[in-house]
Amino acid sequence: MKIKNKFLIVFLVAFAITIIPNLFIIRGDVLAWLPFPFWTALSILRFIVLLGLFVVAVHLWIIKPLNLIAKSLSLNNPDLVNDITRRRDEIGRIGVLLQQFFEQTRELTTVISDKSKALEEVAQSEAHLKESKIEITQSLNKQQEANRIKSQFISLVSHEFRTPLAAISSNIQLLHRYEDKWPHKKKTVVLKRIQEGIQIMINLLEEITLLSKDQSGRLFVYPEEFQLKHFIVDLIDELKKNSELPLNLEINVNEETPHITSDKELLRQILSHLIINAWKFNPEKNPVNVKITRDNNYIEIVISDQGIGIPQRDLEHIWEPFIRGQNSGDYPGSGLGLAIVKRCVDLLEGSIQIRSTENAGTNVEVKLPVKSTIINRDEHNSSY
Amino acid sequence: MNTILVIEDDMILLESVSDFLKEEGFNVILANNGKAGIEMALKHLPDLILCDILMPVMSGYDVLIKLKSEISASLIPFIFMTAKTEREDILLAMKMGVDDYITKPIDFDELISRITKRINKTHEMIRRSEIKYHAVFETAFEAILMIRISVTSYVLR
Repeated sequence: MKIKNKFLIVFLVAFAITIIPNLFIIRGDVLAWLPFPFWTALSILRFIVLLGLFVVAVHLWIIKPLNLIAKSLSLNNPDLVNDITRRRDEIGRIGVLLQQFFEQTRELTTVISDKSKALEEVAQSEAHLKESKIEITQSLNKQQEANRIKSQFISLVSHEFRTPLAAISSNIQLLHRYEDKWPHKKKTVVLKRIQEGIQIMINLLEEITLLSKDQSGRLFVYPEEFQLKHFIVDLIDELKKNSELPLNLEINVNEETPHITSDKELLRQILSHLIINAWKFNPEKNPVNVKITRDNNYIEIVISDQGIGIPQRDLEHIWEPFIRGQNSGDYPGSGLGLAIVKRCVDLLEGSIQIRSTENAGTNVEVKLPVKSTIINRDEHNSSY
Repeated sequence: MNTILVIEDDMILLESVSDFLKEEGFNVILANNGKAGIEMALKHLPDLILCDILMPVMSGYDVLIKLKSEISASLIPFIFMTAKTEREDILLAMKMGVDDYITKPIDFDELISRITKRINKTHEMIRRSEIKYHAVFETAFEAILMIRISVTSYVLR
């Protein structure tokens, strides 16, 4: 029921209570016989009823809308005051203001949420910035590290070259000084030393070229199918010819002639360095054992010797270039061999493990896939 | 004949330096690592030591420190032969009390001139101190008493 109707009813009731008894008073003669207390009671009743009606009116007219306003505020619902705003008095004005307040609040909320979204975006982009900053710092550090390694490499290389150069230069000086004085035999010894120094430099150059090729990503895998045992036998013949070492090797091939598809050059680097090491660091020249077995898709090559071994503390650095075992002093070498071996094994996607006991011997296990995949030269070239 | 100890891990260089020094009239003893070098030095007390720096097991620096701490060998002239050409390395070597250094590749003319200079200087030093002590001895009024822990000897004039 509308408020207006309610008020109409209240008004009519109040009117009836006030006026109807007066009608009776006008016709006093009719009701004159009624006793006096009746009038008094009637007046009191009228007063109470009017007071009650007044209270109801106040409640309906003022308190209820105020409650509604409070409710609308607490529930944050502007629709509750829709009726009130139609009133043209102060309460209606409060309702209108309230709706305006709600409108502004809604606008403000939108603005705030927009702002907080923007803030979030800023925070995100800041986080991105931080990330990219970290990335840049990392890559910078990496580059610095690479530069450091490079310059260290160069200084080590120059030292390694100076040693054979010093040997060659000093022997040439000897020939120059004592050419007339020395017998032919002595001069042959000196010439042989020069030859040795040159050979050391050639080997060093080859090793360094290989490593630098690898570092600049120009070392590729060109697999071809071949018979592993024949390959190893040929390799050992070649090593014997070049190094003039009376290699004493025992070759055990468990499976009949395993054929593999691999890169011959990389495999030659791996095996020649390992076999020469096994022979070189082996003062009593005990036989070196080369064992080949096949395990599913892998070929396992084990090279074991009974040489001087590698001290425990050197084992973890064994793959780093120019690092040589503490006990390698009396044996010539550049310290590049195992670094090359490791890189070649990695390129062939194999694995290598060294177990060694000082003064007892070394056992190297190389595991290579029976079929190596081609690393395409064109793909690589396009990225350099 | 002056004795020279050469400590060098590269066998070719060791042999050629040895050939050269022998031809120049020195008595040469060789060691191909630092440890053997120290043993040789203490055993033979050479007139001069030529030593490489970068050697496995024991570096030339270690050899120098060890020998400078031995009374019998501390005055032996010590020359580094080294492929290290960086200034800091040479300064470090000088600070450690090395008498001279020569860089690889070795120029034999330079080597012989440095060796002779060092040996002559040492001989001069010995001669001077001999003269000094001789003078002290000659001018002593009464007597010089030399006391050793186990032996006491009187030298009278």
